[in-house]
Amino acid sequence: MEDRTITGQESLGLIARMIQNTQRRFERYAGMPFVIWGYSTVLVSVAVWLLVTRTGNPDWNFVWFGIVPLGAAGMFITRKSREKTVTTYTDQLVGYIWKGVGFTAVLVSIASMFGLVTQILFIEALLINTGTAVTGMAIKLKYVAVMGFVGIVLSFALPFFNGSWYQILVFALIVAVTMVVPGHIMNAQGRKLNSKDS
Amino acid sequence: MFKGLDPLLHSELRLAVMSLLIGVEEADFVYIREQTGATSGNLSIQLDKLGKAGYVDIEKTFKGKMPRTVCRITDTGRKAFGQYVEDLKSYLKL
Repeated sequence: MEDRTITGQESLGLIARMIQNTQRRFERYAGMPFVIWGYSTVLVSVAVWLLVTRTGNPDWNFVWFGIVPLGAAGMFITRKSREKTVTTYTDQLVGYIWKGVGFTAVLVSIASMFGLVTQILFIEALLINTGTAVTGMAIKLKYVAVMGFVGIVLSFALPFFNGSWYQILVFALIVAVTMVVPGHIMNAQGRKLNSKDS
Repeated sequence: MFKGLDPLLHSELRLAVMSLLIGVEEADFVYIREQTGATSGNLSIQLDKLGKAGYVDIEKTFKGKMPRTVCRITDTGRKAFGQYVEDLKSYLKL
Protein backbone atom coordinates (compact mmCIF):
# COMPACT_ATOMS: atom_id res chain seq x y z
CA MET A 1 0.00 0.00 0.00
CA GLU A 2 1.30 3.41 -0.93
CA ASP A 3 0.77 7.08 -0.27
CA ARG A 4 -1.32 7.64 -3.40
CA THR A 5 -4.62 9.39 -4.04
CA ILE A 6 -7.48 7.00 -4.70
CA THR A 7 -10.88 7.10 -6.37
CA GLY A 8 -14.11 7.33 -4.39
CA GLN A 9 -15.01 3.70 -5.06
CA GLU A 10 -11.53 2.59 -4.02
CA SER A 11 -11.90 4.59 -0.82
CA LEU A 12 -15.16 2.88 0.12
CA GLY A 13 -13.76 -0.55 -0.74
CA LEU A 14 -10.64 0.11 1.32
CA ILE A 15 -12.62 1.29 4.36
CA ALA A 16 -14.88 -1.79 4.22
CA ARG A 17 -11.93 -4.16 3.80
CA MET A 18 -9.93 -2.73 6.70
CA ILE A 19 -12.92 -2.70 9.06
CA GLN A 20 -13.66 -6.32 8.08
CA ASN A 21 -10.05 -7.30 8.81
CA THR A 22 -10.26 -6.04 12.38
CA GLN A 23 -13.54 -7.89 12.95
CA ARG A 24 -12.30 -11.22 11.55
CA ARG A 25 -9.47 -11.36 14.05
CA PHE A 26 -9.35 -14.40 16.32
CA GLU A 27 -6.35 -14.72 18.59
CA ARG A 28 -4.39 -17.99 18.62
CA TYR A 29 -4.83 -18.36 22.39
CA ALA A 30 -8.20 -16.62 22.75
CA GLY A 31 -9.42 -19.24 25.21
CA MET A 32 -6.38 -19.08 27.50
CA PRO A 33 -8.00 -16.96 30.26
CA PHE A 34 -10.91 -19.43 30.38
CA VAL A 35 -8.50 -22.38 30.57
CA ILE A 36 -6.28 -20.79 33.23
CA TRP A 37 -9.04 -19.52 35.53
CA GLY A 38 -11.12 -22.64 34.91
CA TYR A 39 -8.31 -25.05 35.84
CA SER A 40 -7.32 -22.87 38.82
CA THR A 41 -10.89 -23.03 40.14
CA VAL A 42 -11.21 -26.79 39.52
CA LEU A 43 -7.81 -27.56 41.11
CA VAL A 44 -8.48 -25.45 44.19
CA SER A 45 -11.99 -26.92 44.52
CA VAL A 46 -10.66 -30.47 44.48
CA ALA A 47 -7.88 -29.48 46.91
CA VAL A 48 -10.39 -27.92 49.34
CA TRP A 49 -12.64 -30.99 49.08
CA LEU A 50 -9.75 -33.35 49.80
CA LEU A 51 -8.45 -31.25 52.70
CA VAL A 52 -11.77 -30.74 54.47
CA THR A 53 -13.02 -34.29 53.98
CA ARG A 54 -9.70 -35.89 54.99
CA THR A 55 -9.08 -33.70 58.03
CA GLY A 56 -12.62 -32.70 58.99
CA ASN A 57 -11.29 -29.19 59.59
CA PRO A 58 -13.44 -26.51 57.84
CA ASP A 59 -10.61 -23.97 58.20
CA TRP A 60 -9.20 -25.46 55.01
CA ASN A 61 -11.91 -23.42 53.25
CA PHE A 62 -9.42 -20.55 53.32
CA VAL A 63 -7.64 -22.39 50.51
CA TRP A 64 -10.42 -21.07 48.21
CA PHE A 65 -8.57 -17.77 48.17
CA GLY A 66 -5.75 -19.63 46.41
CA ILE A 67 -7.70 -19.35 43.14
CA VAL A 68 -6.65 -15.71 42.75
CA PRO A 69 -2.83 -16.15 43.06
CA LEU A 70 -2.95 -19.41 41.09
CA GLY A 71 -4.93 -17.84 38.23
CA ALA A 72 -2.83 -14.67 38.32
CA ALA A 73 0.37 -16.76 38.14
CA GLY A 74 -1.02 -18.69 35.16
CA MET A 75 -1.90 -15.45 33.40
CA PHE A 76 1.58 -14.08 34.13
CA ILE A 77 3.35 -17.19 32.84
CA THR A 78 1.32 -17.25 29.61
CA ARG A 79 1.44 -13.48 29.02
CA LYS A 80 3.91 -13.87 26.13
CA SER A 81 1.66 -16.23 24.17
CA ARG A 82 -1.33 -13.95 24.79
CA GLU A 83 0.40 -10.77 23.68
CA LYS A 84 -1.84 -8.77 21.39
CA THR A 85 -0.95 -6.47 18.57
CA VAL A 86 -4.45 -5.04 18.54
CA THR A 87 -7.14 -4.47 21.16
CA THR A 88 -10.71 -4.24 19.97
CA TYR A 89 -13.62 -2.65 21.82
CA THR A 90 -14.96 -6.18 22.37
CA ASP A 91 -11.66 -7.21 24.04
CA GLN A 92 -11.99 -4.21 26.30
CA LEU A 93 -15.63 -5.02 27.09
CA VAL A 94 -14.80 -8.66 27.92
CA GLY A 95 -12.00 -7.42 30.19
CA TYR A 96 -14.47 -5.19 32.06
CA ILE A 97 -16.98 -8.04 32.38
CA TRP A 98 -14.42 -10.33 34.03
CA LYS A 99 -13.02 -7.58 36.26
CA GLY A 100 -16.59 -7.07 37.50
CA VAL A 101 -17.15 -10.81 37.95
CA GLY A 102 -13.79 -11.27 39.69
CA PHE A 103 -14.29 -8.33 42.04
CA THR A 104 -17.80 -9.48 43.00
CA ALA A 105 -16.66 -13.10 43.44
CA VAL A 106 -13.88 -12.07 45.84
CA LEU A 107 -16.23 -9.72 47.73
CA VAL A 108 -18.85 -12.48 48.09
CA SER A 109 -16.14 -14.85 49.39
CA ILE A 110 -15.02 -12.32 51.99
CA ALA A 111 -18.63 -11.63 53.02
CA SER A 112 -19.22 -15.37 53.46
CA MET A 113 -16.31 -15.51 55.94
CA PHE A 114 -18.31 -13.18 58.17
CA GLY A 115 -21.49 -15.18 57.70
CA LEU A 116 -23.07 -12.41 55.63
CA VAL A 117 -23.58 -14.68 52.63
CA THR A 118 -24.76 -18.27 52.54
CA GLN A 119 -25.00 -20.46 49.43
CA ILE A 120 -21.56 -19.21 48.48
CA LEU A 121 -20.82 -21.80 45.77
CA PHE A 122 -24.24 -21.27 44.20
CA ILE A 123 -23.63 -17.50 43.98
CA GLU A 124 -20.08 -17.96 42.67
CA ALA A 125 -21.26 -20.45 40.04
CA LEU A 126 -23.99 -18.06 38.91
CA LEU A 127 -21.44 -15.22 38.67
CA ILE A 128 -18.87 -17.25 36.70
CA ASN A 129 -21.44 -18.70 34.31
CA THR A 130 -23.10 -15.34 33.73
CA GLY A 131 -19.64 -14.00 32.88
CA THR A 132 -19.15 -16.86 30.41
CA ALA A 133 -22.60 -16.38 28.81
CA VAL A 134 -22.16 -12.61 28.41
CA THR A 135 -18.62 -13.08 27.05
CA GLY A 136 -19.91 -15.62 24.52
CA MET A 137 -22.54 -13.17 23.32
CA ALA A 138 -20.06 -10.28 23.20
CA ILE A 139 -17.49 -12.19 21.16
CA LYS A 140 -20.23 -13.82 19.08
CA LEU A 141 -19.20 -17.39 19.85
CA LYS A 142 -22.43 -19.30 20.20
CA TYR A 143 -20.93 -22.33 21.96
CA VAL A 144 -19.37 -20.15 24.67
CA ALA A 145 -22.69 -18.38 25.29
CA VAL A 146 -24.55 -21.70 25.32
CA MET A 147 -22.04 -23.21 27.78
CA GLY A 148 -22.54 -20.17 30.00
CA PHE A 149 -26.30 -20.54 29.99
CA VAL A 150 -26.01 -24.30 30.55
CA GLY A 151 -23.78 -23.45 33.52
CA ILE A 152 -26.36 -21.02 34.91
CA VAL A 153 -29.01 -23.76 34.77
CA LEU A 154 -26.61 -26.36 36.25
CA SER A 155 -25.79 -23.95 39.10
CA PHE A 156 -29.30 -24.50 40.41
CA ALA A 157 -28.29 -28.08 41.23
CA LEU A 158 -25.89 -26.76 43.90
CA PRO A 159 -28.52 -25.84 46.54
CA PHE A 160 -29.63 -29.50 46.45
CA PHE A 161 -26.21 -30.38 47.89
CA ASN A 162 -26.39 -27.94 50.82
CA GLY A 163 -24.69 -29.40 53.86
CA SER A 164 -22.77 -31.95 51.80
CA TRP A 165 -19.09 -31.58 50.93
CA TYR A 166 -19.96 -33.10 47.54
CA GLN A 167 -21.30 -29.66 46.66
CA ILE A 168 -17.67 -28.64 46.08
CA LEU A 169 -17.16 -31.40 43.52
CA VAL A 170 -20.39 -30.51 41.72
CA PHE A 171 -19.17 -26.89 41.60
CA ALA A 172 -15.82 -28.04 40.16
CA LEU A 173 -17.60 -30.13 37.54
CA ILE A 174 -19.77 -27.17 36.47
CA VAL A 175 -16.71 -24.92 36.13
CA ALA A 176 -14.88 -27.61 34.14
CA VAL A 177 -17.78 -27.90 31.71
CA THR A 178 -18.49 -24.20 31.32
CA MET A 179 -14.98 -22.69 31.43
CA VAL A 180 -12.29 -25.27 30.74
CA VAL A 181 -14.08 -26.98 27.83
CA PRO A 182 -15.01 -23.79 25.90
CA GLY A 183 -11.52 -22.43 26.63
CA HIS A 184 -9.88 -25.43 24.96
CA ILE A 185 -12.30 -25.25 22.01
CA MET A 186 -11.48 -21.55 21.57
CA ASN A 187 -7.74 -22.28 21.64
CA ALA A 188 -8.14 -25.06 19.07
CA GLN A 189 -10.20 -22.74 16.86
CA GLY A 190 -7.61 -19.97 17.27
CA ARG A 191 -4.74 -22.29 16.35
CA LYS A 192 -6.63 -23.57 13.29
CA LEU A 193 -7.58 -20.10 12.03
CA ASN A 194 -4.11 -18.65 12.62
CA SER A 195 -2.31 -21.57 10.98
CA LYS A 196 -4.54 -21.08 7.90
CA ASP A 197 -3.67 -17.37 7.78
CA SER A 198 0.08 -17.92 8.10
CA MET B 1 -14.07 15.87 -8.46
CA PHE B 2 -12.79 15.27 -4.96
CA LYS B 3 -12.27 18.89 -4.06
CA GLY B 4 -13.45 19.34 -0.48
CA LEU B 5 -12.50 15.89 0.70
CA ASP B 6 -10.00 15.92 3.55
CA PRO B 7 -6.67 15.59 1.66
CA LEU B 8 -5.05 13.99 4.69
CA LEU B 9 -7.49 11.10 4.57
CA HIS B 10 -7.83 10.86 0.81
CA SER B 11 -4.66 8.84 0.43
CA GLU B 12 -4.60 5.07 0.26
CA LEU B 13 -2.31 4.31 3.18
CA ARG B 14 -3.54 7.00 5.58
CA LEU B 15 -7.15 6.04 4.90
CA ALA B 16 -6.32 2.37 5.49
CA VAL B 17 -4.69 3.24 8.83
CA MET B 18 -7.68 5.32 9.92
CA SER B 19 -10.12 2.60 8.79
CA LEU B 20 -8.24 0.05 10.88
CA LEU B 21 -8.05 2.26 13.93
CA ILE B 22 -11.72 3.29 13.79
CA GLY B 23 -12.75 -0.29 14.61
CA VAL B 24 -10.35 -0.98 17.47
CA GLU B 25 -9.35 0.46 20.81
CA GLU B 26 -5.65 0.41 19.92
CA ALA B 27 -3.31 -1.28 17.49
CA ASP B 28 0.44 -1.56 17.38
CA PHE B 29 2.70 -0.63 14.50
CA VAL B 30 3.37 -4.26 13.52
CA TYR B 31 -0.35 -5.05 13.22
CA ILE B 32 -1.00 -1.96 11.08
CA ARG B 33 1.98 -2.76 8.87
CA GLU B 34 0.78 -6.36 8.39
CA GLN B 35 -2.78 -5.34 7.59
CA THR B 36 -1.85 -2.56 5.17
CA GLY B 37 1.15 -4.28 3.61
CA ALA B 38 3.05 -0.98 3.78
CA THR B 39 6.77 -0.66 4.35
CA SER B 40 7.89 0.39 7.82
CA GLY B 41 9.40 3.63 6.52
CA ASN B 42 6.35 4.72 4.60
CA LEU B 43 4.01 3.77 7.43
CA SER B 44 6.09 5.78 9.92
CA ILE B 45 5.87 8.86 7.70
CA GLN B 46 2.10 8.55 7.24
CA LEU B 47 1.50 7.88 10.95
CA ASP B 48 3.57 10.95 11.74
CA LYS B 49 1.35 13.05 9.44
CA LEU B 50 -1.81 11.67 11.08
CA GLY B 51 -0.29 12.27 14.50
CA LYS B 52 0.66 15.88 13.71
CA ALA B 53 -2.91 16.52 12.49
CA GLY B 54 -4.20 15.23 15.81
CA TYR B 55 -6.07 12.35 14.17
CA VAL B 56 -4.02 9.61 15.81
CA ASP B 57 -2.44 9.36 19.21
CA ILE B 58 0.93 7.63 18.98
CA GLU B 59 2.48 6.17 22.10
CA LYS B 60 5.99 4.81 22.07
CA THR B 61 6.59 2.23 24.78
CA PHE B 62 8.77 -0.81 25.42
CA LYS B 63 7.71 -4.47 25.41
CA GLY B 64 10.56 -6.00 27.36
CA LYS B 65 13.61 -4.58 25.61
CA MET B 66 11.83 -4.12 22.28
CA PRO B 67 10.36 -0.73 21.37
CA ARG B 68 6.63 -0.78 20.70
CA THR B 69 4.50 1.86 19.00
CA VAL B 70 0.81 1.85 19.89
CA CYS B 71 -1.70 3.90 17.90
CA ARG B 72 -5.18 5.05 18.84
CA ILE B 73 -7.62 7.18 16.92
CA THR B 74 -8.45 10.46 18.69
CA ASP B 75 -11.85 12.19 18.91
CA THR B 76 -10.62 14.66 16.28
CA GLY B 77 -9.65 11.74 14.05
CA ARG B 78 -13.00 10.03 14.60
CA LYS B 79 -14.86 13.22 13.62
CA ALA B 80 -12.66 13.76 10.58
CA PHE B 81 -13.16 10.16 9.47
CA GLY B 82 -16.94 10.45 9.88
CA GLN B 83 -16.94 13.69 7.91
CA TYR B 84 -14.77 12.11 5.20
CA VAL B 85 -17.22 9.20 4.81
CA GLU B 86 -20.17 11.62 4.63
CA ASP B 87 -18.40 13.75 2.01
CA LEU B 88 -17.50 10.65 0.05
CA LYS B 89 -21.08 9.43 0.10
CA SER B 90 -22.35 12.76 -1.19
CA TYR B 91 -19.72 12.80 -3.98
CA LEU B 92 -20.67 9.29 -4.98
CA LYS B 93 -24.36 10.15 -4.58
CA LEU B 94 -24.98 7.19 -2.27
